[in-house]
Amino acid sequence: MINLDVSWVKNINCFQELPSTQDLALQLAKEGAEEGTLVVSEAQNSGRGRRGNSWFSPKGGLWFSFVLRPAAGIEGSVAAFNLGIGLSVIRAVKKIAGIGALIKWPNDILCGGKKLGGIIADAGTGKEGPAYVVAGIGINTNVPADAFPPQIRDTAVSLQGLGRSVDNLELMGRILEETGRMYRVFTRDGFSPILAEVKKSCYTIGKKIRVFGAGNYGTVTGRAVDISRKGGLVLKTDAGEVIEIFSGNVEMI
Amino acid sequence: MNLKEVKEIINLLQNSDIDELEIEREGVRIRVKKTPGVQHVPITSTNLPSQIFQQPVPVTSVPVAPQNGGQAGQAQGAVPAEKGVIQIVSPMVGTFYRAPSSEAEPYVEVGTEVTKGQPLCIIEAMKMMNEIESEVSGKIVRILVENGQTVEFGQPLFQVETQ
Repeated sequence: MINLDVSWVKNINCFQELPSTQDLALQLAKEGAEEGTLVVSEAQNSGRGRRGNSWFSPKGGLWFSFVLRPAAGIEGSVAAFNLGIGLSVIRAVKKIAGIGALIKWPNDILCGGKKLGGIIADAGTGKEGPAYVVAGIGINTNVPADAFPPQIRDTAVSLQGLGRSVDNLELMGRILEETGRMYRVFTRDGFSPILAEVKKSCYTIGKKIRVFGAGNYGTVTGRAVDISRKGGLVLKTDAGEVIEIFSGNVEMI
Repeated sequence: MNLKEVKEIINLLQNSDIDELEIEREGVRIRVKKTPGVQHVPITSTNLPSQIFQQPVPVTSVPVAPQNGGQAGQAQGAVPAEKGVIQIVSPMVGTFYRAPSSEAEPYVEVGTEVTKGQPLCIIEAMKMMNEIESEVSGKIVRILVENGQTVEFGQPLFQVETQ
């Protein structure tokens, strides 16, 4: 029997197939769903990534979203919470699958340089309720390597493809446990306590990269040198300038 | 409730003719549904997929001082505003997007009549999408930031004429 401390999860909604766990969890959050509301689906037919990108999410993978309602005061650092969730996923994958994964800033989970999973998050405030964060996690767990569509076959990887099939529910439980633990630290002390571990688990630091859509910087190339205390990626550009970015798509070059 | 029990519930449902099962124990509610694609939450016309992720975040709206609105505005990189014009400012550092996705139409244009609570834009920070809603009802008179630009905490984004 597996005993996990997931007492913060209060309301579990399981589906065989959904358009998107994130969209449903968001809708529930908007309608006042309590913290710990969880939506999990065996498959998604409209799974989404950043800015409307689609996310391949067949049966066999792990696709879920949950609602958090952080107390006031962490609004300024709430985006860094994404990195904390990434860290929770990495810890759980290590424990359950015995595999070391890394965070590609800001929200991809990589294994051997290929995409094992990703995290999205939407934040907001209901008209009466406190701020909420809806986090969505997708992991290519028991997806056969040859099931990936051709356009992502070279860049995606699954635990099954690595010979490490897992029990999805067990991995999800472990991720939720790690997330709950991280969340308690984060809401009490902010991002700083986990920053060192995030840096250590960051695939991007030290790499030569190109960032598309980096706000005012547009497209920039340079070397990733650090993660800031706010969770931003610190980049030394080819022109020698040190800048901090908070959004964009990162490509290794 | 532990994971083994959750698994047993799911297995029970999968091997039965039951379509939906809800169990509540020790304050934890589990709902398992078998029919693919059917949600237990009614989707109304106001919650169409393109709009589902429109979520508001708290926005500080700063009344622009009528007398020296120009100066106050310029200090924050905004254009001068007149009496009765409310400035919507960014609650965070991030990238400003005028539409919910790259293919979608902008939420608002100059001249759009908005109501309080209506989404105006998205600010993305580390792939967390924060939807910014209007604090007031009125007409958009200026959009102060270009799509895709970085905005700072407190930076004015829109001016809304309330009279």
